[in-house]
Amino acid sequence: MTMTSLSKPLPDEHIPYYSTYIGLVQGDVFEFMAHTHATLHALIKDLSDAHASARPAPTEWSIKEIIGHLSDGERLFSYRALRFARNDVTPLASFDPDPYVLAGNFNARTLPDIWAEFDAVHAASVALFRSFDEEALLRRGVASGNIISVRALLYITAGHEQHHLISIRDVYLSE
Amino acid sequence: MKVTQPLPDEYAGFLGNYINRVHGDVFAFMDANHAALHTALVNVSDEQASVRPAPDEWSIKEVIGHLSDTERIFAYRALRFARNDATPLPGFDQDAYVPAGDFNAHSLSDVLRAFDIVRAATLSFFATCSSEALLRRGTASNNTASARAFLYAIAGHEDHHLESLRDVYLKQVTHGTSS
Repeated sequence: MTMTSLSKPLPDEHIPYYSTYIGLVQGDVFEFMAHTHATLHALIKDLSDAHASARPAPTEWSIKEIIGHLSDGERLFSYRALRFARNDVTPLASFDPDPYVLAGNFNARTLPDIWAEFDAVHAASVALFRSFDEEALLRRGVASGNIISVRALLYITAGHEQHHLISIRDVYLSE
Repeated sequence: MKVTQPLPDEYAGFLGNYINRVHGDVFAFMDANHAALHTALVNVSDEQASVRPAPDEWSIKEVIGHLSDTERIFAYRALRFARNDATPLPGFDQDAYVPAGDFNAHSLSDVLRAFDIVRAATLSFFATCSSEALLRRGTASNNTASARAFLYAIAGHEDHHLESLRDVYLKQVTHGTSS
């Protein structure tokens, strides 16, 4: 594969923490995202409401809460990418996923409703990242106190969904 | 879900100029304006949509790109406040965002489609938010605002630009003064 602005971000474009997500991405990042998104949907679409609302342990999220968290996470990652891509280097705040999930009250909604929202958010993330030119993809800013590039945010978005797909498949849906 | 007009103490500064443009049900108002925006641009050529009426004014493509960017930022603020996160959020300089967005390099239909996709994501958030969450407040651009104030600001902001497109840009296009 030739090096392009859509290649994997270099190690200095993000802190090591994010390698967990970025390392999951294989091949073309947009094809990878489309495949992950379709696979996750196929995995959960026929689950009962009770199954999708169950928390494996009091401190763990339900499947509905994971999908809600994916929507929230993508909105936050895309926002950071938008600002940096537009040459705006204002340092951006972190966020704590646990209180977001609690405040989102996702278990009060149906799984198809939560999925429809994630679908819309995901389409908006993909449209944003696809609209960036090479220069914009390589721009950087500071979020949560750490330097990060726009394309690192793209790879994190892709790897984050894959990470939760693996956890749903291997932990939540294994007998 | 029914969402009602924010009270005057739920916003400050320029947001009020947009919020006050909204009448009736906010979602119906947004749908009507969004459809009207598409209709208004249906006969506009790609070339016409790239023309800047004056060197310091935006082209039609740039106006649409600006609507997408602003809507993403406003919806993000609403998300943080609705999730009980009152971290003060920074403002943004729209005049710097538009040139960085390089919207004239895209086709009018692409820029419009991107806006449609942003709109669907916006609606998916606000339409599913609880009324309690929509009343939560935070600080953005040094002003206090509620989550629902940003929904109304998004609606009124599109209305404002639709009016300016009709009154300024499209008169020039139909009168052929853009050539």
